[in-house]
Amino acid sequence: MTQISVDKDFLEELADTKLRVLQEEIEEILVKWAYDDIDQLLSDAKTGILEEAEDDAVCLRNLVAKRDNLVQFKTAIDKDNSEGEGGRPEYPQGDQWTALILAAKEELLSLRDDWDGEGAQQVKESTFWRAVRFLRSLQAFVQQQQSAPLLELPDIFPRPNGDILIQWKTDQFQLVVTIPEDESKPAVYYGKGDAENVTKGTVTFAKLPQIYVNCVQMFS
Amino acid sequence: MTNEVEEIFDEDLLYRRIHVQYVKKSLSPDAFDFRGDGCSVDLARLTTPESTRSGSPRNPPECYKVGVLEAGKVRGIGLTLDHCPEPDNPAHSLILPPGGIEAADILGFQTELVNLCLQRPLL
Repeated sequence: MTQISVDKDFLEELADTKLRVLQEEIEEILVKWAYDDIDQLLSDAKTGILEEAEDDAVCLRNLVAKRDNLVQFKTAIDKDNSEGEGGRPEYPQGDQWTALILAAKEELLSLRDDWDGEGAQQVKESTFWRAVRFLRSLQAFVQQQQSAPLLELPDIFPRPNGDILIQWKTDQFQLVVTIPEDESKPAVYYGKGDAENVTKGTVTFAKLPQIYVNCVQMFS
Repeated sequence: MTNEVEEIFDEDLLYRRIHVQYVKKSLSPDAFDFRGDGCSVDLARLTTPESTRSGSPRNPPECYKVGVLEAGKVRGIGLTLDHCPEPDNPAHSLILPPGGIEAADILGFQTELVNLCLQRPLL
């Protein structure tokens, strides 16, 4: 086998691009058959519930295998950087989470200074990876709860000052948290349910996952 | 139109230029950020949505949506409104938060402004 040296960032970009393409192809098949669960589609195609879906099911299985291999590969190349606060964490697990993070990465990191025409700062890569770390730790934290609350997919926004804002808006509650560009600053949050009662304040980064769980418990 | 300061009545509508980056499944609270003197809006009776949308000197109008707020509802959540006409924008007004409040309160006001804004379709 011939070995060549490749810049790590370039390699990661290639992997991200390939992952995105695979994810789009997977979603295209899911949309075609009006499914949102890969396993269910594969199962229904196998048992004949879904007629004439065999070719797509084979294709879907191959795409999922390729994607899982690529995610493993990415995890391996991210591993060196995963130590310490500034490193790159594992992505939250799940198809929709992967798609969310990849889309946010492409969108947020492509913004340049003054992207809003009113002097907004670009989002730094370190801020983005801190947001990913928060979402990964939130996922793990939620799974550890005795009666694990449903973890909804949030929207991820750039802030004018270079921070990142993550917002959940569900039928039961609304929660907004900020991921500051400056690691020494606390995160700010604001949550509310259907009624007038709200929860708000500042909190250290490590305690942010608890805020989500509190919000779900208070307002659901 | 003149540059005289006008009273903003509760039934007045206000237009806010909102960058499309803030529009996803939900609307970001930063659609109403309080950078500088306050949150800039336009008094609707002195302008048009198209004029508000094209008010950025650096980005094309396609980069923006226009959110609509009712003045009375903005006051109803504890914010103040001032008409502050500018030479190139006689409709310019400011939404001002109370003094001496914390970052979480600001985020709360921004979130509530978004919720008020979503009572009407974005233009």
